Amino acid sequence: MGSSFDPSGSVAFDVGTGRIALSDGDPYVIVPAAALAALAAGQTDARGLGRAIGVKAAARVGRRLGGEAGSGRLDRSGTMPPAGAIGDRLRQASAEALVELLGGEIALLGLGNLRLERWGGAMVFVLDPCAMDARADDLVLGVIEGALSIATDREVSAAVVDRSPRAARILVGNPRAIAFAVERAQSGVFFTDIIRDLHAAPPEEAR
Amino acid sequence: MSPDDRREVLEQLLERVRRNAAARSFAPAAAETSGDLQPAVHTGDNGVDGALHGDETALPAASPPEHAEQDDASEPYLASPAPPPAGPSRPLVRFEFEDEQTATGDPYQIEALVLAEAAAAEAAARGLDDPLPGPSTIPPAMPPGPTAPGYGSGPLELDDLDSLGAPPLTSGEAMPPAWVPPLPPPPAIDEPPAYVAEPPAYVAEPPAYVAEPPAYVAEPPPSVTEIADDDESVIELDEADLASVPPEPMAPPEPLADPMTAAYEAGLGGAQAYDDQGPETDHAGFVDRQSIEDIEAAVLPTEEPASPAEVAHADPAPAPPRIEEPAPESQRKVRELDRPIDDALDGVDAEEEPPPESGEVESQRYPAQAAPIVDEVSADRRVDEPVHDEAALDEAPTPPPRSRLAADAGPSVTVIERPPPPDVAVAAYAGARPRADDSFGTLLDRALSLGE
Repeated sequence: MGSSFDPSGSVAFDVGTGRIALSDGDPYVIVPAAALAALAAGQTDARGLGRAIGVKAAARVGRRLGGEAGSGRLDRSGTMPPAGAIGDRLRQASAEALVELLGGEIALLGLGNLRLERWGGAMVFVLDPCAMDARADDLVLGVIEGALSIATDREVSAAVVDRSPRAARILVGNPRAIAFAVERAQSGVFFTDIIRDLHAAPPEEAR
Repeated sequence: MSPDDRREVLEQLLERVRRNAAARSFAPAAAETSGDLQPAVHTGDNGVDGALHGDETALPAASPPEHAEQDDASEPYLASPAPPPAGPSRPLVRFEFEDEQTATGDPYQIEALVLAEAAAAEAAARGLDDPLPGPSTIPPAMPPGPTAPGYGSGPLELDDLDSLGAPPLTSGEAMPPAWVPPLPPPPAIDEPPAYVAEPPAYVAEPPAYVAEPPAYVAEPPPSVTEIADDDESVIELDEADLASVPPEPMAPPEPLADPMTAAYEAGLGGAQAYDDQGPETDHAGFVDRQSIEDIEAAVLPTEEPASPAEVAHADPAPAPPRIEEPAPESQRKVRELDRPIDDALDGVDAEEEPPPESGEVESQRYPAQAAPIVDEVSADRRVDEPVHDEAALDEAPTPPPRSRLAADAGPSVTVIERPPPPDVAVAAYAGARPRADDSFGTLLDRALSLGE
């Protein structure tokens, strides 16, 4: 008889660091196949791929949040709850609970460890460690934007304001504020100064 | 030796000189030219004046005098080899004066007087004979230099005076030319560098600007002080002042006939300031007794004023009646009050006492009536001891707390301590702080609204 395939221990999920490794030891990321196909077909970009990953992750969080009331599973009809219902759950949830659930989902995808920093009114998500380097910042930004877009009706934009080989600090805000932050970050301004400027004056006057 | 004794001695000596000269005037002149007079070179300040007093003819030409600069010019030295010892001679004049130098005790004056008397006697004796064709053998009476006090102090004899005369020449012989020895070279005198007149560097400074003309204040003439014409203004002279009366002015100097002396005189210049005074006259330095008495009679008052001690012990003269002078105007001025005299309150002005004459202020004339101040509180005092003097308590410092006094008092004092607090809830917290809406949706909306 031929040798049988033993899959035991083939995939290692490090939920604490958000790293997925196979038997070869390299990190891997779990992406939706449709989104990857669309990317491969050229129908979308990395940010679109990331948005697809984030929306899927937030939907799972919403289901988990609703699952506490109904175990988060599919209802008896076998259909998913509506998005509005998922968004409300996300909004009603505490920041700590959302960070825990969303961070777990992102960690299972192999994107890294998620934490939330609040600088005054600003909200900064940090992937530390981040599974991908700076070349995939648009993918990471798409994941955050897609996940938060489930919890609000407003347009959500994100930008990397602080980047290191190991971690990435992502500022969340409206598109105007993020555009201002991107401009300041490209000019070398530290992210704390950018956040302070956002609190001090509107972006128009700051410019 | 008093001046009177000196005069007596001098008179005796002069008498002896006259008698000796009269006796020798008839004796043949001894033509001895022995070197009794030792050529001495006295070195003065310039080192040349001493040669003037010596006999130039006795100086050998080959042995010029040695000029030595000495700080102490009182010691002469011999410039020529030592002369042969002189014969037995009797000192004619030797004076041992005391330290006091008076006008009548100057040895130089006395010596000059003796020499002049001897010369006069010899001239009188020769006046009977034919005049000598040769030059005068009597040396000019030269006063000794002031820097040579030792000059003339040596013994002199009348024989020495006679030995100065040259041998008489016959009338048929022609007078040999006088041999003049070469003059000694002038001493090396350190002359100061030649004075070069330089124009003075005068920088005219601009006059200081004076904004205001000086104020000329005519000062009042000094007050004329009348000096009382009493006996204190008379100058009192004592014996010492009379003894130091300057002598009579000397006669003008006679011209020097000796060519050698004249040459030296011309060469020495101003260094012979003392010699320029010329020979002293017979009356120089002498004040006779009658003159002294006249001076004393003219200067001294008839009655000496009483000494201060005598004045002190004398009976006081009756005091003249004192005339009370009026008080100064400032004290007689009427005191002016600040308010009209009509508004003066009865008894107010009377209470004001005039300032005491002793200078004490009013507060010092009243004793302090305050109670003795207790500066410290003794800890040995019992706590329950009543304090009677309330004023002393007010003045005394704050006493220590009673707890400390009780602890120091001993075991007899009862200590009451605070009871323990009851075991009950003192404070009750009702309700709770409303928790902020930190839902994720709210935070997200706040973040999205940032920067709009």
